[in-house]
Amino acid sequence: MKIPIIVVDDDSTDRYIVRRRLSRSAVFGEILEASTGAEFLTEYFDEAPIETSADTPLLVLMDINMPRMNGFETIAELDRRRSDGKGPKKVDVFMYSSSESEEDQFRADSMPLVKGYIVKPFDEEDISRIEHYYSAS
Amino acid sequence: MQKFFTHRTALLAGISCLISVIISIASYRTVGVDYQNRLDENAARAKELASYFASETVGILQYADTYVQSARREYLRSGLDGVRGYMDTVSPNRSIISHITIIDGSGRPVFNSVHEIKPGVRANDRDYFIFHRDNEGDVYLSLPQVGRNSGLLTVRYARRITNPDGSFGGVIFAAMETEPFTGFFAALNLGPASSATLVGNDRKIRARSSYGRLGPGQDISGSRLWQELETSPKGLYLQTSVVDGITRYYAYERVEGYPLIVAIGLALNDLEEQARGFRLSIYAIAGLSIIIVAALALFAIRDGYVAAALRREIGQRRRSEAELEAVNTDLTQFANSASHDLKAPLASIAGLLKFCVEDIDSGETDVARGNLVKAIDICRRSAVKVENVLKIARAARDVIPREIVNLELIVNEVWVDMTSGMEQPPELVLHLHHDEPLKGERPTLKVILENLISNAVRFQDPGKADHFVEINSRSEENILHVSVKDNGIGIPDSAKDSIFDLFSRIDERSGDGLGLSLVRKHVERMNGSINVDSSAGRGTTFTFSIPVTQGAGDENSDNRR
Repeated sequence: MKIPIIVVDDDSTDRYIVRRRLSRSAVFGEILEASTGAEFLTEYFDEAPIETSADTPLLVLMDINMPRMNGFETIAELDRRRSDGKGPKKVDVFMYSSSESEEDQFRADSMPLVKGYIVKPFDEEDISRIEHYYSAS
Repeated sequence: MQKFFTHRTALLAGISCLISVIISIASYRTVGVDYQNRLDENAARAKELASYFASETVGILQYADTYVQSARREYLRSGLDGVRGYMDTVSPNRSIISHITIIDGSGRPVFNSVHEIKPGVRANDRDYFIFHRDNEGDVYLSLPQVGRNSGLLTVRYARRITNPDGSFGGVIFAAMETEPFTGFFAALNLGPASSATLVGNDRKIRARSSYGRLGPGQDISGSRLWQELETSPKGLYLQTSVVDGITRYYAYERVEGYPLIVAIGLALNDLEEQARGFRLSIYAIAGLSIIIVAALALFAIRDGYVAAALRREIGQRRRSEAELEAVNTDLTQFANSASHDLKAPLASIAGLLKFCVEDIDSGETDVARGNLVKAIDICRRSAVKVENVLKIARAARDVIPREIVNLELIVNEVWVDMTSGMEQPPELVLHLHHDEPLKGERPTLKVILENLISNAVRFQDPGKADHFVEINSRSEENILHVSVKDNGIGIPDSAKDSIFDLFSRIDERSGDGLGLSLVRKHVERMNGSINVDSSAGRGTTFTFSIPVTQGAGDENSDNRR
């Protein structure tokens, strides 16, 4: 089963990099994009929330540094909506950021939805990591 | 630093000297007055001592007299046995009477209560024997003689023994050491130039506290005492001795009932010695206390100075700490933002370049070319961003000269720059009511207005028909207040706290998120303040206030333009 991905990043170049890298992988299916946290939540976790099959997870690549609502704030809001029952059962978030700061990594660790942390730029190694994550589970 | 210390010290040393001089004068005066008082006191004292001496002498002699008369009675009644019996019954007070002796009419000693009578000894030549033999007067105190047996100066209180037939029967006397007479005076320790003298009517000394030049038994007929005695049996006079040059107070008194006179001489030198001693001790105390005071004062100054220096240093440290904290906060903020905003473009560039390598390898040169162009653009934008961050860093340190500024002119310049490319620019409304002429930092004011007006123009509310930007200004004392108001989309409460932070963006229109940060840095450098009044949908008003100086002419600026 191909895993759907949503890339949330305000920078178009970074979205392009992810898109191009992921397109080479056979594991992943549809690559969706959102340029703000608000857009991501409205599009996929609101009126017509995205649905996947019971076993298929939804992968979200979440940028941290975004205007208005940053990545962590978006995840918090996502959590709230999921407790309302919106969206698929399995959601895996991978942080996607140029920052390697301890604070950001620590904060990512503290969120149960976040399963990994990818440092920009997105490269082959990062794809392998995600693929391994899914083959293992 | 050294100078401050020295001046203070010198001042205090001067004060100490003054104090010491005052104390010295005061003590001298005091001692002077004291000295005079003491002289007066001592005149009175001399008189007292003379009275005391007289009464003591009377006491001693009366005792001796009583005893001698009783012994005489027993002798006349019962001879030697009578005397012996009497003496066994009534022992004489040994501190007054050493022994009793009886000399018969021929001068031969017939009785001695303590000593063996040496055969062949005659007392015919003694003054007391001669006196009683030749005189009817009954009482006689002999001249002092060194006792043959005791070795001490002794006077003899002698009474006449008259035979029943009226003939001279000899003498009975009580031998007394002279020391008890004048002992009280010796105990006063007044010095060798002062003296207590017991002298007989015959002008010969019976007892003296110290003999010095005048020996025991000395004839002092030449003394002024005899002149004084003619005027009064009791008195006081001041006399400077031609012999030793010493001035003395002399107090004298006739001993009532006895052919004796007491005289007390108090030498002024002795008093002066005491006074000098007293003065010296005053000076010593004064000097010592001044040294102590000065030392304490110096320490106090030093401590005070040290305390002041410490306080200053603590103040400086606190200020430095506060500055450091401010810097640290800035740095932390910067570090947090930099790991995103400055690093991110590099990550994007790296990603694109990796694709370029892959694309060149696979011959996709067009794609590669496109990505390279994109990478170059990101580089350029990043450089601008870094430069803007550096501007903010520099903004804290800028030294910009103040000059006369025309606020309206600056606003119009900025407005033209900002809106020249716009099809439908917002309306500009000016209400400039500040005091002129206005002196300030022209370039800084321009940068501030650029950023604020740019925000006002960018964040328009599409829901509103008309868009305007209103700029107000007023002066209050020496503070210029300027506000830039728009009817745009406003700032939600959640974002208001962080709009002045480095890299804080609201949305895509925010640009780098550095503009307001720069504005705040400049405003704070000029000792001013900036605040925002806004809420979502209501528009935004930024107001900054900076101290300005009124006046014509340039300060600081070099007149080059």
